[in-house]
Amino acid sequence: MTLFSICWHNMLASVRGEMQYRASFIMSLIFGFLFQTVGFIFVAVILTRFEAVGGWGLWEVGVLYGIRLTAHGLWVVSVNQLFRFDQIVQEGEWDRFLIRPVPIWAQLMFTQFRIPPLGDLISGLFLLGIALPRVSIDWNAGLVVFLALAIIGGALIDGAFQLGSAAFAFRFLMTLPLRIVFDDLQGRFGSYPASIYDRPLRAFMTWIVPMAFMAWVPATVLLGRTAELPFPEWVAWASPMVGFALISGAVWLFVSQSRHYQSAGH
Amino acid sequence: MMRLSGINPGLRDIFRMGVREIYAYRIWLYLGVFQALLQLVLLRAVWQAVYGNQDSVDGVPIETMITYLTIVGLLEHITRIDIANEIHERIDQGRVAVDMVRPVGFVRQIVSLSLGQSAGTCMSIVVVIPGMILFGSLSPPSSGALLAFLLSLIMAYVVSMLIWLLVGLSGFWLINVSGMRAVIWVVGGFLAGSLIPVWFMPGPLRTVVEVLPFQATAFLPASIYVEESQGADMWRALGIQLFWIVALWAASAWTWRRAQSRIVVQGG
Repeated sequence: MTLFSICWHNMLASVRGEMQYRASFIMSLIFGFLFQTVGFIFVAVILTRFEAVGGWGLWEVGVLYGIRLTAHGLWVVSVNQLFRFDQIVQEGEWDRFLIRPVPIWAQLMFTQFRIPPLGDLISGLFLLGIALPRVSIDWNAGLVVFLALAIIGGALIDGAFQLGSAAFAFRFLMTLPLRIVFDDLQGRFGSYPASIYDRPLRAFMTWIVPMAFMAWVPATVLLGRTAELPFPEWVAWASPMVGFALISGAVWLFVSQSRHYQSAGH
Repeated sequence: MMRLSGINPGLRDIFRMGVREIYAYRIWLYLGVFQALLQLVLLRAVWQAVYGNQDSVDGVPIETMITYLTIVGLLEHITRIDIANEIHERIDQGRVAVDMVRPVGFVRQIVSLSLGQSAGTCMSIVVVIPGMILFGSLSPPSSGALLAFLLSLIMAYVVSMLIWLLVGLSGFWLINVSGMRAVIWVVGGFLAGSLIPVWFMPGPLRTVVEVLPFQATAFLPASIYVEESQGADMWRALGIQLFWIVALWAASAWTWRRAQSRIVVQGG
């Protein structure tokens, strides 16, 4: 069998498995959706009472929020084994990853299909779907490609921090709190125009944990708001590259840390 | 020192176990502190941006708003109760069978453990309160309001405990409550007023908030602290909390009676 067909069969089998518990499957989707949209409902409620947050209207924040959530959803749906990575290392399951004749990245991505992350992706796309038509964007082919790349780049930014944190599991066995910290930073702070934060916080979000490049920077490009960025416009157009650069670093860290793996045996 | 001598020694030990558990897995306590402070920093930034150049909206000055957010954050941190997960794990692993044959009631064991965990968590306020004063504000109210707030705080804790107990007990039917738990955590938090005070909510949403118990866990005590509810309003807030304690108590007692005949022991 080719790699592709192995992965495909694996995924189909696990979807079939999940579908055995249909009520639980649907509940997971609904819960995932609710969980992710509360943050936007917060913005929506605020903006029905007040006109703008830092000069951004409701649907402009909606676009930003949608980009962030879709990017996040894309990552958690794709690399779905990472969420239980501590367990994989602790219980020696990594042994199996090493001996299977399939590349490790493919195993991390296609071993199992998990339902809850799908809620993140669906709610992100849903939000983009309702917000994009409600803002004035001068669409052209370049902008469409930019949006797609920005979402992929955003997914890679999110992923770089998740993968980079998981890398430490090989030595320290427990990395979940660290991953929650990054997930929190991304989920809480990444959803608003970073222009509302005061200078140190904005600098932190832009240069240290660059969540700003996940949604704020791409959204300013789409909405013609690049004037409020602390750097020139071409940097904003190059923002999808940040994700690709970070993920390379994270992969390097992951591979180099994996040499410290000590099997717990089976 | 707390007088625990009159209490069943078994429950007392379970309580101590709860305290120790928090310190055995300190990292989660640190994480909770970090998250609470992070949330405050974010909410403060968002609300300041929303206020913009206005000093006051609907008669609520920005300072009051920041104090409100700080108090709500503090309340969320100390009323964070993981009782539903505790029950879930016991049902999931079949340990509930062993728990049930112990000489003290199952619900009492769980509640004692939870109280212990809260007592452990409460120690972290020595870091959380200075942190919150740094990022937010806790400008103290009049002594009358402070007294009412302390009473309200205790009731908020009890309401929170009862809500999570009910969620946990529903696990006897649903088996897996993790999804529901996550949703109640965020949706309930929102409806408790932890992001937006109820006075800024639009009419229909306010109605939803008023018929649900969540506001009793954060909004009501916080509005007493910032003296947005005074006099008759304050008494009404305390009354609503008391109502929810009685109602949820009755509901959980009823649920527990029915749950006992629903127990499915999955090995263990």
